[in-house]
Amino acid sequence: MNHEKQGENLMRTSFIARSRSLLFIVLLALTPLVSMAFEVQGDAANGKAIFNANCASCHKLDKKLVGPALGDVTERRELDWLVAWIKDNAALRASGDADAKAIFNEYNGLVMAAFPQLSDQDINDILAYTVEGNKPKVVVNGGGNNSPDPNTAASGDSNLVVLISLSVFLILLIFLLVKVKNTLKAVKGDPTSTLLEDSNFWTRTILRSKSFIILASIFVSVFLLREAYYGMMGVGLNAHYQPVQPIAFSHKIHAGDNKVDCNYCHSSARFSKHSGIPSTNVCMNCHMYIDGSEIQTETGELKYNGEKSPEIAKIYNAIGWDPENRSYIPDYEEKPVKWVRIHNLPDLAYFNHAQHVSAGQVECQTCHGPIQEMEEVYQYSPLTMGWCINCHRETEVQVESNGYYAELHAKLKEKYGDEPITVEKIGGLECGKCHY
Amino acid sequence: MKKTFLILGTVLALALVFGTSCRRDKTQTALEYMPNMYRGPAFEAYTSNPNFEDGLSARKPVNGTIARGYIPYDYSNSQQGYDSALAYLKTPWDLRSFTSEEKELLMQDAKELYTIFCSHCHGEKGDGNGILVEREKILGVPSYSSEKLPNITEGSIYHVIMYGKNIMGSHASQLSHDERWKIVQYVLQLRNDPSPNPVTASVEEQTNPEV
Repeated sequence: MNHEKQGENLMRTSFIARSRSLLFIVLLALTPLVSMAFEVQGDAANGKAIFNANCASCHKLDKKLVGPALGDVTERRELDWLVAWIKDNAALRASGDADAKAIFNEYNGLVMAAFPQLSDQDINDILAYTVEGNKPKVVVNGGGNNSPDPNTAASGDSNLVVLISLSVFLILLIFLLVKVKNTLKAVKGDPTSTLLEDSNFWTRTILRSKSFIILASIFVSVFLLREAYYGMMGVGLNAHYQPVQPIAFSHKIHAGDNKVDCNYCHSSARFSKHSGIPSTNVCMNCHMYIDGSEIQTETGELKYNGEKSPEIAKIYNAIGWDPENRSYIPDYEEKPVKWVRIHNLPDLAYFNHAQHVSAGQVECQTCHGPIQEMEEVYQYSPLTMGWCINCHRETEVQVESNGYYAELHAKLKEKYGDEPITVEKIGGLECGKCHY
Repeated sequence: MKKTFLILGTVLALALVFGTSCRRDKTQTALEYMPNMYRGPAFEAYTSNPNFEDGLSARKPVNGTIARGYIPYDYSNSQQGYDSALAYLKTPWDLRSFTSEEKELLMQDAKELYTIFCSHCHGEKGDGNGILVEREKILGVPSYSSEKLPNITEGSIYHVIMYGKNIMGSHASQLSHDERWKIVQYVLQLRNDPSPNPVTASVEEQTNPEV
């Protein structure tokens, strides 16, 4: 794939080289239109690789990042100036170049690193990429991508409509059948009866039947008993609890696809009772750069038409980040995100994350389940006392290479010999460990 | 008699089946039997709190509070601050006085911290090829090698962890003073040991024929 692309680009460049004289004439004709633009001789594929490795931390093609957008830089600057600037911008500024000084001051004296290791050809490649990469991408079916699919949104409503029309149809059918029955009876000469009289007759017959009453009461009592039993057994049990969160944050994308360590965001799980809901400044460590505009749908279209994702915009709104000027808005009244708490032990039980994560070296997934696969988080474990106790009985203490238990381990070895040392044996079943 | 049992059985089965069809709404919490046993009168870390205007239980420390064990950082978040940290800031420990065992423990901790907080962008080997870079989510992460980044020192590395640089954000809120310095030691080790990553090399070999 890459080779193909590269080949294509090479072909293109050699073609350009061959028809250079022709192009020159064309360019001459276009001179009034693109006065500053110069023809870039470079391999855009190689340029992309160099750009991504060296430039992309401060520059994007289509918008301003730390430094200016570079998509149209060949139209703004001369080749010689660009080469000089990229190789050593400080020297260029020192030489008294007015343009260099102007751009330095425009960005408040922010120093761009010098790149003496890049050759002239490298720089040409980069510039070829800035031209190539800035060509508008073909967006198929650009409009209407933002609005949710009307079919999925209205599916709940359409079910209701079907149900209502079905019941109307059935009621009509009953009236129709009664009418047919009465017509037939009238033809035969029998006395007719209305719908109300018919239903009264059936109700009376059913209610007089002893066996029906017995069966019906058995049905109702079994149903109620069953509901009551499961209802009471479910008191305080919140497994599968999956509330709607204020931001559609996906653990699957962050912890699964991108493999960001759990502790990166929940950094206090290592040393605190709480595993810590990350404050928005932690989100901003990545989302200063990633605004979701590059997210593609399954068919390869841009999901948000190149705009920032509305979910990521919620972070910006919470912390007061201005994505246009790439700076925090001064004196912004921060709006904390109101996450809905999912895992909630009753106040009568004590649980400490650090104890389990740092000392116990228990994986997050042991209690929280396949969190890296959850698009929306739900409570995986029942968090009942029986569940805790069971784990304490079965889990062996990670004593090897765990400084926390070094001294205790020696004593336990003496006491239990080669038996596995479970959490129970170091007091994990004592009431006061969790209830106090 | 047989018929009665049959009917009775059908009714019981029906009652049980009808029961299971009533599912709980997943977005709602379960019934609490004695809420005052579940919910103590004290406010917990993340509960909302009507006593404050902003409704937060988690309060910010009073202005001027100094945390226990806090070590001040005098370099400012600016180009000047970066330049002086680069020149003057040094590791607070005398690593030469460490025994080899202590040093090994320190590097073990440092590696663990680096893996959690840095590796998804900077890569396991510090080559700037973390998974986020591989997936083109974040671009332009430099390699630590002394060839690519000749002008960094322990001081400038610490300064960057503290305040961030370019598109990297500040990691001061996630890491303590000691943890930051441990990571600095690990980055210095990666810088001086630019051994190629055997894992990625073998992956490239495997995927190349398909291309």
